Amino acid sequence: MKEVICTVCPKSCHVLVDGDNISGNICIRGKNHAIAETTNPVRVLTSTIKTNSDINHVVSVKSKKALPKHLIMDAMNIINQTTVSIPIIIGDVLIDNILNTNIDIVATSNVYN
Amino acid sequence: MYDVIVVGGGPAGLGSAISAKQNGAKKVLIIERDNVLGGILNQCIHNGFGLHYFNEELCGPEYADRFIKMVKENDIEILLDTMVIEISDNKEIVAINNQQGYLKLAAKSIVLAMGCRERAAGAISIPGNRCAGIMSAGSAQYFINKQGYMVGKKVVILGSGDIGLIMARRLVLEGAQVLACVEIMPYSNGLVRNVVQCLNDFDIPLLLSHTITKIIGKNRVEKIIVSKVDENRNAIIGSEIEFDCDTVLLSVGLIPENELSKKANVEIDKRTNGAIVYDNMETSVSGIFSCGNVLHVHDLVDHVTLESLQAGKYAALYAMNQIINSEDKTINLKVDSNIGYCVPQKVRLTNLNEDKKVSFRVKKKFDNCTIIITNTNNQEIKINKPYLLPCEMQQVMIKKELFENCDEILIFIKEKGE
Repeated sequence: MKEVICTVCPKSCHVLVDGDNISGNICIRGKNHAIAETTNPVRVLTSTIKTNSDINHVVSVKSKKALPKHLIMDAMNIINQTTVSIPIIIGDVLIDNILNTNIDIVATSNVYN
Repeated sequence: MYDVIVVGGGPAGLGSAISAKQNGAKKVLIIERDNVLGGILNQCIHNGFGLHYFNEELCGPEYADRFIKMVKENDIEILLDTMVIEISDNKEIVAINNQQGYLKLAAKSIVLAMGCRERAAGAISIPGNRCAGIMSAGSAQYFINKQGYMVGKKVVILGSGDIGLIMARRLVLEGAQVLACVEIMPYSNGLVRNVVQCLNDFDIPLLLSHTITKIIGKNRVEKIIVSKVDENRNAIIGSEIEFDCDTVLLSVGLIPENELSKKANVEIDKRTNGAIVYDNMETSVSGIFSCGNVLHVHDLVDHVTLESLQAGKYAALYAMNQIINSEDKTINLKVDSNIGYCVPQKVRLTNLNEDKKVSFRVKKKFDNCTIIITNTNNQEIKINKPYLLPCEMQQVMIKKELFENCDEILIFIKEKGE
């Protein structure tokens, strides 16, 4: 038995998952969220990557889609070993297919200089 | 002479400037003290912005960029690196920058969009040494996300506001150890979503009903003492826990930056620490409008944007002499003791031509309750809610008809079974 606190809306139901038996949710979204959290939890990763600029040392980035939760720290390792060249525009792919997940790490801010 | 001058280039300032221009103002200027537009969004690199307004999840800088583009497309003038030091009540702005020096700018109407600053260590008087390593969560966010500097290796966070929770996750991702998040209240001040995704995901303990009772350190923080508190928030002797840490982050609330508003003789609401505004976002000084976090603290930037569009629109109409300001028919909006405040606080019937959105925040948690809005003629609106939370600002639409022929509107919460 596992308890999942639903984060779909601020009501924050405490959903109990016991095999196929799900209780404590008040809507279907809570059920789906609890199933996802207990089978394959995913998170969008946001962080920064080092740039070669003297002024703006870092550029903010995100994973284009949610990454499996257990890969977050491995993804951070790669992000922290990467340096990118300016100029960078929002949406630029800075790391392609991170950890063979088919998910790219893209810029979320513009760095011109 | 400008039609509209907007003070502040964060989300509220950007939104109001665009709206002013689109509603007919010809000369619109944004004055921003930083060297870029976007305000605090630039350092909020986490996602979750724009779900209501754009229907997609954006990171802070992406959300800001969409509005900065619109500002540029709309031919709005911008003064960066410029600090407004005074606003007079005849709507003359005094500003300084290191290119032009001392500037005097006149406007037909002004939008105040200065946002908030964080409560700092001085405001909560933590006992102990005054060593390095104590800073606000927002400062740490700026160092890490904008400048690329790490703030510490072993960190304790005081307060469980959303910025503190988000920084807990950010610090762990960047290799620091977050030993605990300490909250004096028996509940978290942040959204549950943030508690789950920022603390629980990384096994960071949330110590509720606890506070820091001593900071020890010669040059840098070396150790802190955390104690449990009783229901009166007094430390319980014997409950002390020691943490060996080098950094303490404070996430203990926001203060609207209303120094300029006060200089312009704008009347301030003690409950929000922001201006008292009418339904068109106009303050007690005719032609000066206010919106965003300088008016009241919002949880979602989407709400700031929507509010700023209103303020910008009415500032433009004022500049074009399309608002008749008459105090003849002013209705006060009141709330009961379960509600902290409401914005706007007053409605003027002379200009009322549409239903009005009213924002408020409850003081405690309610389950299965009804929001009741009633006027002095016993007409009422009822809205059933499965729950209401202090960390979630509520917005209700009040029909135009409810304001007519009454002296006062009261908003209150009725619990189930009452």
